[in-house]
Amino acid sequence: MTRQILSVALAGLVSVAVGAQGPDALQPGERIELYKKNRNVIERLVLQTVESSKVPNDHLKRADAYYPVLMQFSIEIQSAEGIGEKARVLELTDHLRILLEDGLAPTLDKAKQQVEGGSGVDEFPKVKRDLLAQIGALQQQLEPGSPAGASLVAAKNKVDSITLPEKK
Amino acid sequence: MNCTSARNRLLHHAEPGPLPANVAGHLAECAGCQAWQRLLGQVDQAVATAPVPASNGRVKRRLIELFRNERSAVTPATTSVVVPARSRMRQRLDQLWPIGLVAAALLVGMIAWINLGGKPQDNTTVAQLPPDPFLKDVVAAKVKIDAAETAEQRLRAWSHLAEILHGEAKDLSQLAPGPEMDSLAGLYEQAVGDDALIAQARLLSDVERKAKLDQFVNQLRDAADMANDWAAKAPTGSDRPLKRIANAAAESKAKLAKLQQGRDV
Repeated sequence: MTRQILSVALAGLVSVAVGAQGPDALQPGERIELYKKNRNVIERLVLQTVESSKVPNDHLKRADAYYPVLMQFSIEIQSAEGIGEKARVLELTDHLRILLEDGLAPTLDKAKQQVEGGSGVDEFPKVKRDLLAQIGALQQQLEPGSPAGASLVAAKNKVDSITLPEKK
Repeated sequence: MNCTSARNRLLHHAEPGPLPANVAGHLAECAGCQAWQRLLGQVDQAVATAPVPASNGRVKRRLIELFRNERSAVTPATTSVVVPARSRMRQRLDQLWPIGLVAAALLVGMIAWINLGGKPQDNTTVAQLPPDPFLKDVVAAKVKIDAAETAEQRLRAWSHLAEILHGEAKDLSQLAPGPEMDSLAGLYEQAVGDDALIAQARLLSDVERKAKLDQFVNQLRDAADMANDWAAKAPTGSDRPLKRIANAAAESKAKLAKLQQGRDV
């Protein structure tokens, strides 16, 4: 009897797994929904990239241009977390991790080298502090030990590891 | 409570409703069991939506009869159970049961595929949305622009982002006339505009402009032509944003051409 029950249960599970496999391409309805859902983040990303491009040689301002991006991601991630969309939380957090590690951290590092001994040296700590505070606030909203929270730890540490520039 | 106990309890918890506290407690902390619970839900749903074949009731009556006969045969046998010797054929069949199981699973899977696959259900579309490849591309493009060391690299990266936006606008124009298309048109205008792509072209030296801008001029010309074509065939509401994209591409193309000739814009 156990075998029969097991067979039926396994058949059901396998069939659901097979049936759940969809084609790789997004369905039209999904594309629209995804754009509606991610529109604010995408608009913010493009806008802040434009802002950053206006000052290609002012790395501190370019680093500061990440603040509104972090804010927008934070809003979206907290919203997804609030309604239990764990996959979306993870997706957005992973994008944020990439932005922090490959975008913000190198930019902040360039900013440090640029202002060291120069005019922006007093402004640097505030920019860095605000950025870290924003990341920290988001981390507190995420479940401790969750994959999303864990993925931000290393990224935040990378930003945090950039030391303050020295004054002349 | 461990995973095995929790899953057994979940299997026996047939009715929808609150779970026992210890099971709920385990579920809250165990991602594996959460996935298991979701899977059970999907099984329930698949079974509920499976079509019931038409029947004249004869098979059902026979089945009930079989159960009755089996029960009446088993009841007096509680004192002495006789295990019948298994035939060879029966033994062989017993060994082949996993193949039958897989075949049955594939059959039910095909039915589930036909019934459920590729048709997003209105009330669950939002909850089951897959990751967004467009967002991923935009994030990657931003990182590339920010990490670029030279104006030429930034020019290429902006051009790439403009292509991504152009492609998304093409796809969505067939599906979503309205604010989404207006949004994409606005983003495209920014990407090829004075503060982004054109600004980087301005930073090139005269020699670089002559040598490098040709390909971007051609790309923008093609982008404008394509967007005009799409606008001519697009549903009402999508044509105007596509025209905006075509105009933005044409305008930036003209500016790059001037820069290429050593003129200022």
